[in-house]
Amino acid sequence: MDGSTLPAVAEELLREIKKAFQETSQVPDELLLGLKFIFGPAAVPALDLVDQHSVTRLRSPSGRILYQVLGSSGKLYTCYSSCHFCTCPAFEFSVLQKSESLLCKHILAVYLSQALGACQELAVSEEQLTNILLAEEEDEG
Amino acid sequence: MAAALERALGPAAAAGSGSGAALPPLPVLLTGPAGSGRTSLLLRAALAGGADGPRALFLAPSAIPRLPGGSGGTGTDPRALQRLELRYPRTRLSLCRELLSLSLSLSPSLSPLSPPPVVLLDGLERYLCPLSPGATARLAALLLELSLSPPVPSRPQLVAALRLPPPGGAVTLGTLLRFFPARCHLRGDTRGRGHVWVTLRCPGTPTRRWRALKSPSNSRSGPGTGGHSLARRVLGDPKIIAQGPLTVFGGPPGGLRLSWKMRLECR
Repeated sequence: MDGSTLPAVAEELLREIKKAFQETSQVPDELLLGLKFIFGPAAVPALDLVDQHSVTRLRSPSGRILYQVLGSSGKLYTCYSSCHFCTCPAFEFSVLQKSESLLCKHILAVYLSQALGACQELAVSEEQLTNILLAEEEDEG
Repeated sequence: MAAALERALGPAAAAGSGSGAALPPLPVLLTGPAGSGRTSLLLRAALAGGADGPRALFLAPSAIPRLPGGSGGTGTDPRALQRLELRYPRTRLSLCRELLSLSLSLSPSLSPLSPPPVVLLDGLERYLCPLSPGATARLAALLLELSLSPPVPSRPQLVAALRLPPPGGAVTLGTLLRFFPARCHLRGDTRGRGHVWVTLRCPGTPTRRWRALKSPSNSRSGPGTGGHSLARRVLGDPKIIAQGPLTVFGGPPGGLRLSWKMRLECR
């Protein structure tokens, strides 16, 4: 994600995962262990989401990008491309309030899907993308 | 954006403040207590660059009392005012719609030589109250999303002003600082009456500092009353001269009052 603020070690790990996957179509065990060490409990659920092809990249004609992740509960969550933000409750609780995790599993799934080329792609109109961005605000009314 | 603030403030005054390095195009969170001059600094940033400056959109939850320097004062170029647009979205939802509308209105084919528009958001604290950390984060993330994406030269530069302490205190501020990598803080100078310190921190560049002087103000009761109108009749329209590295801006919120002693010169 552009404008991300992951620690350097996390970014390096994701780069290594991408490189290893491009070369061998696999992710070595040691990198998976590194993933779990750095991202904690979110790592395995994020990998599950990637396996299920749950991440969709939405692109509008202007080039704006959003990610939607189909959660394990069946609910669709939105992750922004320019910063670490997810509409899921775990992001608010574990990341923002408790600072227990760097990322929620959905944001991590987005990173992993990018690294592994597992994002589904969907072109949407500007209006559709705007509506997604405003959806939570309108729900709060 | 940090560059917009630097245009308004001029070269950094403090020695060793590293004013040479170019500022990254990051959105800025402008913080300061009540009366520190946040609104005036935003307006100065909007008008900096005169007629050749970028298009500027000033957003606030309520109307501002007046433009900096008053009518005809402090050298405000009238042509600069022509590129300033003032809007007052009252709710968070209307603010988001304004920002998205701006984002959609920008043409990707805009010349790369044209300066990107500047978006100055005042009174951020009034859009936060009463919100949960999640809603605060969502608003901050949306502000960032609009100023960092899509990656085109014409994407707007954002400065958002927040009065301290914000609703929700340290939790709210901590949440906002997660999303705003660059921060500009206004703080009263305990040594000099009427002065403020402006500190700008951007990742990857040295911290920049300015010592700025608050401007005198006009009585809320308007012309024809009070000392200010007398000064105007005797001296003409006041022109505040910046001395050396000092940059003049600012005033208390809710209206400007003649409360500072300044050296005034008239043409």
